[in-house]
Amino acid sequence: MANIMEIENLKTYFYTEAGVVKALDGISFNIEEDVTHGLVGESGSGKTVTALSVLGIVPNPGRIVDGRVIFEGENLLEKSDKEMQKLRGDKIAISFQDPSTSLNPVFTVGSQIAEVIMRHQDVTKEEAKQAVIEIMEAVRIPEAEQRYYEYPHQFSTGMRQRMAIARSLSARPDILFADEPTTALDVTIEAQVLNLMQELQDKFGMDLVMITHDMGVIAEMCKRVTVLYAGRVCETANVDSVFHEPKHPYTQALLTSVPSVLGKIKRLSVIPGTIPDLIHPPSGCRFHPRCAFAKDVCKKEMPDAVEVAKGHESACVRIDEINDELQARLKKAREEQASD
Amino acid sequence: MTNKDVILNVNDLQKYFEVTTKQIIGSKKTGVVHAVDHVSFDVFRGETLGLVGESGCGKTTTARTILGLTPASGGEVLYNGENLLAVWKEGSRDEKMKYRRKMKLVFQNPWTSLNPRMPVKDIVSEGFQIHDIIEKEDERDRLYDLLGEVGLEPYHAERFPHQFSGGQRQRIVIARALSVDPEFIFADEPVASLDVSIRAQILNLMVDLQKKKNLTYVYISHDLASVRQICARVVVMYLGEVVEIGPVKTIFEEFQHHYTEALMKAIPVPDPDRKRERIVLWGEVPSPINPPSGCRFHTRCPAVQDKCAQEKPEFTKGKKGHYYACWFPVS
Amino acid sequence: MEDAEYIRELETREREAEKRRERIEEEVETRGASQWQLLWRRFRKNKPALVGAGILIIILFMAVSAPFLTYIGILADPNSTQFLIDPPELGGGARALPSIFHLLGTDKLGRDVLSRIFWGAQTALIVGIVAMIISTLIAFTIGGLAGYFGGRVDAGLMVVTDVFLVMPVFLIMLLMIKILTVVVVSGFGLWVVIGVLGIFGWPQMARMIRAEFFRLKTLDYVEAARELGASNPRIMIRHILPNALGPIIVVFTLGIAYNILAEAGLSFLGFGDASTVSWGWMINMELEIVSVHPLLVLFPAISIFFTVLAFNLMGDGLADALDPRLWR
Repeated sequence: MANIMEIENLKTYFYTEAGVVKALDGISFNIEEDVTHGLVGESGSGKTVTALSVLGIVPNPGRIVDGRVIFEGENLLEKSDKEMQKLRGDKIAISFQDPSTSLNPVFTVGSQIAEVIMRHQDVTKEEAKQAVIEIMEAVRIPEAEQRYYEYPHQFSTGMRQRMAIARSLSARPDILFADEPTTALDVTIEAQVLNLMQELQDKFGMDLVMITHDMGVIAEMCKRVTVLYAGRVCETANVDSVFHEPKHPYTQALLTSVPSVLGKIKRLSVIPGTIPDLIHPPSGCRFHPRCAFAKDVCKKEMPDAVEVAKGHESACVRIDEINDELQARLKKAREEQASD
Repeated sequence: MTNKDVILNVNDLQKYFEVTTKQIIGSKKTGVVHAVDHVSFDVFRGETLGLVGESGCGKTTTARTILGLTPASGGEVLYNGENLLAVWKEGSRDEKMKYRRKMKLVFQNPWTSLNPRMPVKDIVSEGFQIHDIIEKEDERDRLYDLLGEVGLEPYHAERFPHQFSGGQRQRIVIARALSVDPEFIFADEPVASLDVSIRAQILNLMVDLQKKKNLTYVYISHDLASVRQICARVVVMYLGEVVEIGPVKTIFEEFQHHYTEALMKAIPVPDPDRKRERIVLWGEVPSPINPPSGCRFHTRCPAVQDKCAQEKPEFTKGKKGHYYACWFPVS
Repeated sequence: MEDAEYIRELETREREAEKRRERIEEEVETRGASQWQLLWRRFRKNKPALVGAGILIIILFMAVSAPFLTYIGILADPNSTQFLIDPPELGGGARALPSIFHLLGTDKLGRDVLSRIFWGAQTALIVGIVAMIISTLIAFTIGGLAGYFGGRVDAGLMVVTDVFLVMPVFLIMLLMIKILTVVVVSGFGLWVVIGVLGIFGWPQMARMIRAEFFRLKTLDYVEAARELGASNPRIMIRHILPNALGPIIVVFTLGIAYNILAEAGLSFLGFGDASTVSWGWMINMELEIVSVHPLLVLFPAISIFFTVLAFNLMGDGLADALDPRLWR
């Protein structure tokens, strides 16, 4: 399968008063065409910064210091801001987490989206309006014709998020980075939005990168997934492999420490410690202070993700030694769940 | 149900907010928000009761009304048989303080519910200082005990909230709630704003504390997975009303109300094999100012029939402790 | 490994990891502990504010050392007219130009200008600060009660505040000084000025305190305190007040600047107390001859200018340093 985007050794640092925050310290993964890719991690993992780096909109005091992002044969990081502006929205789009702030409250909802369309396509205002209404109907906004002229505050949160997604889709991008699209939403609204995203993907043939911390969303929406921790890649693999046979202690810990609606886990396993300080990250593998399998070798060098099985990359240097035990623990926790 | 020991008895609780619009002179009442509309449920001593529902269903308002943080508009709440609402309304200061000690709220947001200018030692000690529970010379010991119980060290006492992580702040919030030796705790979304790998720590802590101190919890959350993890029974609310109550397994697997069904089937499950057929509830949550007639859920219910809009459903009793308000339940 | 063992191991690991992190934190930001230290760091970076602070230190030095320096003879007595009869070689006479005997010359009545500038600093600071303290105390009471209780209490207190805001304070001050000429003449004129500035200078601070109390009382941690059973006074003093200090300090600093200017203006207009050493009064006295002898007006004018400027720069610097949006 061809890759639509390849990210190589991406490094983005933030130069703050307190020190240099190494938000991304060498991230590499590929996004395949027609394969929804998930980017999962907690706060500080760098998942949002990755999307911002790709689009070239990293806020001050951040700077991309190294790496390549290959898209359509070119390295995006070498492009000027002007060139990137043409690509943004048109080819690569992003939708943000908070639906209340991603729409400008001073303009009508319809005009905001029409503006995006007119900027990227040579159409009249009337044609743009029609296109917007079409999209609004596609995201299931009732009475789209009237609501075109309404303001964001007149929409509910769920509708606003759908409109925000609608806007990011309006220029028919090739690839959409959806940053935590459902985190702020209620469960039933989340279902609406996820369902919608899948429909729209099919309809517009768009590639989707889901950025989230919710493993459930990953399982539902993605075919391939990259797990990030503290600015580094832990593993990249097919969703089935990650859930059934993860090859990194962090992934396994994550899977067993999160409660599930399927059943009560006798005792939630806890990942001890907290997310590291990105200004003074731990030496070697960034997860080692919290890892049940850590040994001296883990403290030495920062490991890169390498192929450990077909289509499965892992950054754990000890994976061959510990694989059996890792899978055993996972299995045990899952059994406990089922026997609730 | 009368065999078990009921510690809290909520009967027909009501809380209405008036909506007024300003006019040239004075303001006009334009509507009433039925935030909590005839809500009833019991809480058994020592259990963890889940209170679930989506934004605007009234679960937080219910807790705050029961705790006397906002005056109720009607109904009755009995705590160990005593009329709690009367105490909040017209009780003496001593009576109110007594209940402030017994029932506590663990606040939702650990970032905003700690005073940024107060060091941890003051935050955690304030409780027993106000209620004058402990002798001056024992205060320091009690402080360190509390910190230890929630997994913090004595040297944390001198620090300020901004120097702690989210998980640690939530521990401080819990320590503060425990400082007055309560019996009953309302935990309002205690882990919602925490990172996924920290949630387990806090949930485990809460469960441990409960066992140790024989606490009763009402766990308010819209995160159904954590509800499944720590609750024994669950109350499901929609638009200010209770739609279903029952043991946790029943609610999650043998639900009868269609809203509960929608909730359970909407949650993304972390298992790629179980692609559940999702029921997507389209439509928006109706306005609480003008709630729908009859069964409030009828405007979005996939199984709706004429009767639903006309008559408000009564509670049907299912198996052990299972109640649901639906004319045409799932099975 | 057994489950229980695993859990224990994890827990020990957690403890160790925690301790390691604490130690690193300690090294990295030992001094970052309290809010005040963070504040100071940020303030330090603001150049204009530091300049202001520098100037203020000089002014403060002048104000504080004046009595001592006069006592030991380095500074002349500011009220002494003895130099009037000194011969020109000794730098004496009325309105003498600067000389080694009188570094800034003498004024109309032969008094040493340098000394008067020093003593003027003391007057300026006393007026500015004491008047501001009076205003602040009134403002706290009114603004605090209004903001905390809201409703009718607020409505009523705000009417009072508005009345005071609208009053032509300056004119009233002039009036009061005229009326209280008796007091003025007997040498307590300065206190009339301080009193009036204090009594009329509170509305702005009150509004700000009211706004802060309004904002803060709805915050979660205030509700948490209420939920713990804290009484209203306790909440106001322990929870709301410390968090409102920021803006209060800023308004306080700027208020001092305003008061100093106001007093200078009053003296300049001739409504001050001739017997006190005040920069404004100095300008008033020498204005008639400014075209010929500008220095005597210039010295006090520059002093006023720099003092007020310094307070303004400090105030702005504090405002920036305290801005919570810059906290993270």
